[in-house]
Amino acid sequence: MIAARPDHPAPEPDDAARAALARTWARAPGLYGWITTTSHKDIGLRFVVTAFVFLALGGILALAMRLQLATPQGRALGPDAYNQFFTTHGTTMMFLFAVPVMEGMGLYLVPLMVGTRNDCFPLLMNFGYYCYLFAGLMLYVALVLNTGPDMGWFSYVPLSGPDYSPGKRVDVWSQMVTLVEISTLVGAVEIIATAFKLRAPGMSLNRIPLFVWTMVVTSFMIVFAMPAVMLSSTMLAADRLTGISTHFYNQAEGGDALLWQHLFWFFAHPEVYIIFLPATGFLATIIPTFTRRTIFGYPALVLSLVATAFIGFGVWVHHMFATPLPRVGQGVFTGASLMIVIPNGIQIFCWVATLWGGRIRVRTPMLFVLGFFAAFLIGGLSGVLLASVSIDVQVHDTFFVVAHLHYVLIGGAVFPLLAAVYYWYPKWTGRMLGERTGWVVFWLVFIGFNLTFFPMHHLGIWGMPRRVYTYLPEQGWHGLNLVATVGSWVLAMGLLLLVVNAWWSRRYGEVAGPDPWGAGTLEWATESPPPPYNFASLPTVRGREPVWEDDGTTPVVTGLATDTREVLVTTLHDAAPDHRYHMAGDSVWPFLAALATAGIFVGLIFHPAAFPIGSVATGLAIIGWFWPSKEPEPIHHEHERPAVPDGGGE
Amino acid sequence: MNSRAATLAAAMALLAAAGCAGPERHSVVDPAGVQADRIHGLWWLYLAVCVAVYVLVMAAVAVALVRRRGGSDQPLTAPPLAAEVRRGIAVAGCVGLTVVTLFVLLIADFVTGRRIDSLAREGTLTVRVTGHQWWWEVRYEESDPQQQHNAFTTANEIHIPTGRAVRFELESTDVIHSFWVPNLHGKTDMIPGHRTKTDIRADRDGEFWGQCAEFCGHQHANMRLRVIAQPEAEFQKWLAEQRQPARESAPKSSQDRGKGVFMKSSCVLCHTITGTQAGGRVGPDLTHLASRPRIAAGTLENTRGNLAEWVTDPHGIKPGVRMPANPLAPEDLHVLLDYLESLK
Amino acid sequence: MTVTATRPTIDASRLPAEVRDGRTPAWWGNVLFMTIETTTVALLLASYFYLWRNYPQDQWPPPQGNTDPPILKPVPDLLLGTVNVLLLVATVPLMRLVDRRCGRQFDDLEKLHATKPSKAPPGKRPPARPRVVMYGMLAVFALGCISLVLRWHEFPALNVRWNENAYASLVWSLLGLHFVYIAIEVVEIAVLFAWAALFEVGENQAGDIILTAEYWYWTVGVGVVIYAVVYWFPRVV
Repeated sequence: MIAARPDHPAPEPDDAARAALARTWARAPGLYGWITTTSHKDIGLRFVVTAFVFLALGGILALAMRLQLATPQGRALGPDAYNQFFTTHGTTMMFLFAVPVMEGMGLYLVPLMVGTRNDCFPLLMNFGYYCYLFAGLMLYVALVLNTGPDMGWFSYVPLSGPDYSPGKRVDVWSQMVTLVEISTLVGAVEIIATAFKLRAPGMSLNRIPLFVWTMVVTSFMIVFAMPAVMLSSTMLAADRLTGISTHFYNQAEGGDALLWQHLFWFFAHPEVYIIFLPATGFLATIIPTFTRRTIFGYPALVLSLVATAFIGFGVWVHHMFATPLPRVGQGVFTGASLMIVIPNGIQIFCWVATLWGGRIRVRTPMLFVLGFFAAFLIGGLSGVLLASVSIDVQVHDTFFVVAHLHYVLIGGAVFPLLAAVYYWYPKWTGRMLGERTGWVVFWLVFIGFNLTFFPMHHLGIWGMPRRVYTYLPEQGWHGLNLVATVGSWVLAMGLLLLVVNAWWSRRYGEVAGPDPWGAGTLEWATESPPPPYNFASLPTVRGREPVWEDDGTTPVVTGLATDTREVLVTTLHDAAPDHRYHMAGDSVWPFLAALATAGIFVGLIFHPAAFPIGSVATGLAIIGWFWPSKEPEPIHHEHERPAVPDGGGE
Repeated sequence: MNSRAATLAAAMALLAAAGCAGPERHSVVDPAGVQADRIHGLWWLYLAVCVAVYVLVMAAVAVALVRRRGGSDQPLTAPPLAAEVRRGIAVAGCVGLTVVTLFVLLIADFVTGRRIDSLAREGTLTVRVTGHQWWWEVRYEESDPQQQHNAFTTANEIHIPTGRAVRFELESTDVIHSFWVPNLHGKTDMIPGHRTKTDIRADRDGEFWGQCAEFCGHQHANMRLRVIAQPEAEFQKWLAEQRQPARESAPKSSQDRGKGVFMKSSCVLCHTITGTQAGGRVGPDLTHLASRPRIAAGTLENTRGNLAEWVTDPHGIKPGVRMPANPLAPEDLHVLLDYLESLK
Repeated sequence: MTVTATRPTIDASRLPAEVRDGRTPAWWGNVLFMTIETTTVALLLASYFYLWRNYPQDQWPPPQGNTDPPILKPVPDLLLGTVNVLLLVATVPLMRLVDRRCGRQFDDLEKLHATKPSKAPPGKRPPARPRVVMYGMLAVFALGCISLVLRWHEFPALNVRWNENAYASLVWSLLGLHFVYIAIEVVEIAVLFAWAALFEVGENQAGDIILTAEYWYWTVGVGVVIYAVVYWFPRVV
């Protein structure tokens, strides 16, 4: 382990105070407590674990697809099964794994990093999790019943319309998408409000940890992007439902198949940045720890995040270069797609500058960071190739794009995620994941990943389109397809080993202590795992790496109640203490509301009446949720604003 | 690290191999037409730039890894200003270089785009290709209103004269398909309700494969296309043959009996054979079926055995295809095949 | 409960326990939900204009073929829609009265360090259910219900069935989405009214009513935009 700073004393409230806080913030015992918990640590980790379950399910589908494609005219999967598998694989990874896992990490880490006790709207967070869980169950129950969606995760009309996709498969997909996006939007609102309002005194905007910045920017992107897919999929569902039969996408009645593409990609391009930006937050947090220095270029990194978010909303047409859109318009989107390389590049250059200016320690998290550089760069650069209209019209919808997207998503998001798992696992559980096993996991994953996806660049260039369940021997693609399939097994082994290690280490891993890596952000200032109340006395900060800068004289906050769930709200810009905020306690109503909401969407697969009927049920649950309860009142005193510690900006 | 360098080297070798080997019949890096050629040039420019960037950035990471280990664990919250400024200048320089490079790439793309779009249309050859689930309807139009009888329809196979530009008018009757022949040009989507077009010119003779490049349902994987570029004289000869109605069968021959089987079965509901009463427009035109080396949208070679299998049980070959199974008595099947084989 | 520390402290016990508007997390949640819904409406409007571009300039709305006689340009009837939007706009000053009275209630309670009127010292107690607030909410609720009824009748006045064509699907969706927004707000006002009637308007309730009022203004604003597009755009294009 890296030597922690031995001389930073943690604040020491007395045992009675801690016991009271523990009682106040702990969840109820048993199953009821499990269902009704509003602890951001419980729910954040629940998101992460559930997301990894969906990763495994989606991964198994991919392994089956690879098995089918390993040989020409393979017989492992017929076209119907293959089409359901690749659609469910994409839908799972994009909606049920990648975004929820980032949100879960955000829900867990943001309150700890900003120095507070919980996310802002605890009951809303609980509701969001159940919506996510029910959406995922919807999809997989349908798949098991042979009603899985089979028209691609992007569900282009008219193929997905009422004429060419009879049955309920597409309807399962459209309703499930809307339900899961409710969960995602709720998480975004949670994170923005928490980061804006619950920061530790002194944590002015220019001292906010970069991971929190990425989660805030990502959450704003979610607010503007998710409505597009919810709207478009609802319109599709309306086109398909008997009795409704609207014509949004029906060419014959004034609708337009391209409308679907615009609405969908307006969501789906920002979606990939929604997945990628939190990963950059992991990197900006992990790299300083393993280079023993503050990140280089903090302001540039923050501005790059914001620039990426803005430009990210202006590139969606690059998914439509093969359609008959005016050339001039397409050219604009080429320009924007190339332009987005600039903020991305700034981030990479700043991280490399940090490596150059630091003292590098290679532990497992850092290994995955290095793997990120090697892999994401390939993905980003193949993206530059795709930004050119002329090149894109050749490789669009081929395995070249499959290679690109997996290099940016796995290289650019999953590798940092795995680094994050190794990095924060000690904080979650109090134990270390094995370092030696970590190396084995890394190399299996890195080699397996490259073996699987690098050949796909070639396959695309050699003419292999996407979403094909088979190919002919004389097309010459079998060699590389076999390599890719073998690679997929190696990758799967690596991930399996990680899961086994994570499960084993909970019991037998080396004990971690509060700060095994000697890191600087606030989550390391408390025990591992953190107590239910996170910090016995809420901290204040004077810089960007509070734990590194702490010399024992940084003030802590006192005077908050220990018998009710009370936290401190600070001002937006300078984080000056503003007021005491009483958080709602645990409740079963969000779970019931999520059940009712899921009921609406499951019902809508079959009949439009599910909307008015289900809304009544949901409305009742929400009224129950917000009805005032018999909570102890917060105590009022003579009002007087306390002094701000050590003036705001730098 | 050594293993990192090794992986890098292997990656680059594979990358290099990309240009050299590969199935030439449908390869982006084996251009046979002017647009594919221009795109190919742009491709190499972009690829060279990207490889250079990759090598430079990875080198920076690798050198940092080698040279920046050791030292105290004491975290540096305020690094010395002079060094930070130097790094800042280096980063700014890299950003500047990035901007310039991107600009060059942007201009190169614009220039290429204009060049591949501005293909002059010499001659009057217009081919209308309509995408269906899961085959290609190919119609050779006749621009001269006096010569309309010269227009004809075929399926899954397109012949073009080498060296002459051809305008493809693209549409779809059901879902979105995409017309793509990698050796000749990039793809163009075929969207129901939208008429799209692409101009193509093959610059050498040969047979080039294409495939539908927009997921269109069950048999998207088996919706293949062949484009044959021929010298002008051979092309005209082919045109003349295709313009003829179906060959007459000698009376009482097995072909004639086979024709009878065809006309009495459900085949006529979907297929056209010009010169006969079969006028169905749902499936491919079979007038010159025997002139085509492949059937089932490029899936099978056009042999008697394959034809037999396809006619009797298409779902065994392409599950989900729209053609129904046609269980025929062996005698009927035999003469039907004779007839179909006569449709040269 | 004393807490010993080894470092300086900042005493938060003197801070207020209730604040309103932009200082509260709830306000931010409200604004973010409004942003999400605004994006949804904006995208639906964008879809409307996108599909309009597919038509010849003067054929919007597209001709109605299955009535006798056919209607060349079936624009929506103006009367009900106009009355409805005027009604909604009229609720804004009413709601503003409620909003400001609640603000005063909040500030009065703050000055007395009481979370609700029943906790305030007897002599200076603010009214438990201020009349302006109660009657105001009741009035907005009633007008909101009338608006819902009017909206219900606006649908047939569009002169097209929702499944005629894409134009019809869009205008029904625009009015329908907004109908849902009004309905949710009307229910929310009813619940807040019941709450206030059963208990009292303390700081918490006053804050909630203010947030609901802000959402109400948003709903009316969106309604005006939708009205302009649905009823007037086809007439001026």
